[in-house]
Amino acid sequence: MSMPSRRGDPTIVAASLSKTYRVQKKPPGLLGSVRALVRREYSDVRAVQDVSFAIERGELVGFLGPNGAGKTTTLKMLSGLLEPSGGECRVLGYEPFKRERPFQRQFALVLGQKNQLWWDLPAIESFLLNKEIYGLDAREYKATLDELVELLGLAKLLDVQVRKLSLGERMKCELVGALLHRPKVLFLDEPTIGLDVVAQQTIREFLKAYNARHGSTIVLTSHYMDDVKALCERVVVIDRGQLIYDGALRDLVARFADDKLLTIELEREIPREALAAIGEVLTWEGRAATIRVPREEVSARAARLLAQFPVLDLAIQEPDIDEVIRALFGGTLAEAAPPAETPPPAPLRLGEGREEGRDDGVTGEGVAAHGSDA
Amino acid sequence: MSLYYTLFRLALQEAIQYRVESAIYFLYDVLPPIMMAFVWLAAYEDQTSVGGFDLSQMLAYTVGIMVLRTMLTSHIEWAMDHEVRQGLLSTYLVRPMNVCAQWFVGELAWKAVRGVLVTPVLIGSLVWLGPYLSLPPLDIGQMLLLAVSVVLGYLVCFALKLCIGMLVFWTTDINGTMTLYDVTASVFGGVLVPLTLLPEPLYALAMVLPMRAIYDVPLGILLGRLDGAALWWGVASQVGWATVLGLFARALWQRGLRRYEAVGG
Repeated sequence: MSMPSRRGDPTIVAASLSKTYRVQKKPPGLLGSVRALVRREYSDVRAVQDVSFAIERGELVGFLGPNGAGKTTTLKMLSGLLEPSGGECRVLGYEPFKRERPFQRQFALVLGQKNQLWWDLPAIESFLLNKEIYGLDAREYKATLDELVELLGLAKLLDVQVRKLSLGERMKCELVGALLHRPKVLFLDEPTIGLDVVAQQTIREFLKAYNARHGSTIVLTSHYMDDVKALCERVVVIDRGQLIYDGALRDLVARFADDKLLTIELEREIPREALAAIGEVLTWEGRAATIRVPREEVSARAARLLAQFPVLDLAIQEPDIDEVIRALFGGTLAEAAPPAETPPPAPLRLGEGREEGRDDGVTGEGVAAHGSDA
Repeated sequence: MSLYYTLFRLALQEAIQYRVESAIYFLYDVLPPIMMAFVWLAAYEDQTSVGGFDLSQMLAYTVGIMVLRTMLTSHIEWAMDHEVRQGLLSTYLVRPMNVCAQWFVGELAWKAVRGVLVTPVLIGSLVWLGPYLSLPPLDIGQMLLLAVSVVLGYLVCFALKLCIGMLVFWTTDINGTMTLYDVTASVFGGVLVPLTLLPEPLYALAMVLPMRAIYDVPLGILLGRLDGAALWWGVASQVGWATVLGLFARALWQRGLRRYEAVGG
């Protein structure tokens, strides 16, 4: 059935892609396990709903979203690990879920939290196994290995047992293992998770260079804003299973992350309204508050804050990716809301609203519902 | 083929890394039969036959079961449990490679290490018990049949353990099932005592369970206790069980995978 990708077709296409998990409710314990064998109860979790996008050859796209948003589920459907429960997706012209060998030889998946290398053996052994699995000829294998090892500075580590490597070194080795067969499409799930800043940096630079040199299509999920900033011109934001933004990162950041957060502790209680003169008050507990201020005015506003209020402690922080995404909700809300009497602290409320949404058991009726509420 | 050779080589290196754990599990397999040898030596002081076995046959059976349970018992369900639960299966499934074949080859490597470990114990046992042993020599045909039967016994055990391992797709805990299997196999597989010592209803049950096809048939051939129709019936039952359990494992794999795909790894 699957046709090889025709010239001009996007490399990756998702059309109304959806995934509903049937999650088994299991009573605890051995007895519970046995009982669950006989009678099972399920509940449905809608992890991805109606997601559509197209990614062209050579693009480097970031999937963004908070934990549990559906990024990894989407990536697993694109890799053929999960069967879509609705809609369809195609990668290189193949239906990933059929797991056809010709498709599998052309793509790779790196799961940041899973170890694909043989834990007790030196990484080079896993590379040799991959050479056999992907049927690479000796010369091609050696050339690719040399190139990757040099790019990542791994020469001295190939003969060290994987379990003795640091997390960063291991991730570099994972990348080598995944790229030996020169995949046309590379999926990375949280490739920098848990890594120190230097290792994150190395991996980012490597991915960028690799993408530029070989024109491979790379899709990565991350909840580190820095990854995405450094790598992706285009981002797809997914939350509660729904695609809520697909476009240039430049626009997303300019629109939603062009401010900083002032976290303050005060000597005595200051009314929320008074602090609002400095910026948008996100949280307020009388003697502690978080205030959002425009990035370019951060020092002026901080100075004003220090001059006007009895500040004990002040920290200037970047909004994290969750903040950016909340801001994105906020933007949606603000656009939908009547301009004048908008209730002010919208962004954080939405963050809380998310929890309530989960409790309902209805994930992701999200944005639209909140938008129309306001 | 060079893929499976490489895989075997890696698995062998890994098994050697775990030599301490290997040695502990190895002791778990060889110690009970060695104890039983002492028990039998004492028991036969007052009698010449137990359950139709004379002392020579009983000791040969005991040494035989020691070697066979070490060599033929597959533990693939542990690997499956670990790999599915840790989500490592996901990393296998995206590669152009047969996962079950990978498990099979990996298991063979562990068995190779077991072979190295059990050889000196076997030699020691033969030196110790040799004076009591007087077995009818096997002709070349019987030896061939024994070899075939041993391989078939391994396949039956592997397929059976694959089926048990597949439970990991449905339950969050297969330890209970594994323990249940161990107990069942030690009685109905003839690991504890030869099956003929079982009381009639249990013996009848043992004859229709797959565990009999793992150790009892090859040991029957070794001891010269199976001949004629019983011999061919024994080997045929091994082929039958290996086939049936293999097909069942495959069906479970396909259904389990659907579930894994539905629920996510």
